[in-house]
Amino acid sequence: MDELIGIIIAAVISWLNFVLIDTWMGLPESPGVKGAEVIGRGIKKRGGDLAGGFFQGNIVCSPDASAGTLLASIACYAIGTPEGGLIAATLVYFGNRLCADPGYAGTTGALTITIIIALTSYIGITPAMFIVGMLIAIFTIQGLYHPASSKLLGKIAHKMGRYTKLN
Amino acid sequence: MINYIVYMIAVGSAIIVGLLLRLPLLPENPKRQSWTISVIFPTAVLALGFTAMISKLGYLNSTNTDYIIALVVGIITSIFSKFILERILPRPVHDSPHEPSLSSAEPPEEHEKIKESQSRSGSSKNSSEYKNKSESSKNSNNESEDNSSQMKEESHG
Repeated sequence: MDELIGIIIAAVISWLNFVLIDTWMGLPESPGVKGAEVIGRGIKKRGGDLAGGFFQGNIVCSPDASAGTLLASIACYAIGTPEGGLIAATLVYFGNRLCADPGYAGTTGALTITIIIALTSYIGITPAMFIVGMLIAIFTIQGLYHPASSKLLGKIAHKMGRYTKLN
Repeated sequence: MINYIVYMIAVGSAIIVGLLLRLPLLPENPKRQSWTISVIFPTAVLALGFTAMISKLGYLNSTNTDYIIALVVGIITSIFSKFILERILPRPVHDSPHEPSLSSAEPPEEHEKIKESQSRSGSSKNSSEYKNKSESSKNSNNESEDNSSQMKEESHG
């Protein structure tokens, strides 16, 4: 497969993987730690959405599905599929526990992307493409414009029934 | 070529030994906020990860001993989850409406002992501080109960 097309497909898959899993696991509902609350309220002050802000704060403060997706991609590239992804899931779980997080989102994200990498290898998408794709995916959430991305995350949280009840 | 049977043996033995050690099969609801160590999560996931580590370190070499190694990995993982994991990576100590605090998780005998020792010492300041603390913990417990009842209502709705 052409490298550029592969990276674009991998970016879309990675984006959906981590956003859907993190939202399902309740990241927009409440901040897990103080830092996530500060980030969430800071984004709201700048015209963003509070639930989306909590989401962004939570993925900064502990390794959630975004980190799981990236680390599993790197581990699959470095060690092999699926062993790398399984090792990454274990390490992400320990990282979660160190960061005051129960660890469901990160571990689930690492395991699902490992399965996806194994399946998409049949159509020529490599773990290296997933690493670049995940970097692009996380850049669209954390790197471009926080108010807009937090509003999008807030809408997704609302649709999935995970919108925050905090003010 | 990956030997899936090795992974299945590791997960299977981890689940069986975990159940024998009286680990719960699944965390309590709401699962995504639960800190309970259960058989499915994280024991089975850790068994997969530890088996992958053993495999990549070169200890699995496609012989019948691989199955025994996988069995041992599963058993060690469940023992690790039951007795060691909570000690090396404890749940956080802070009062959050979604997470039970360690102070509220203390047995009531501990509270009684503290109360008795403070009443014996006779310092009114300490006892008033304790009262305030117990009141605030009661309030936080009420809040958490309210939140949990709200969440229950939502899940029913």
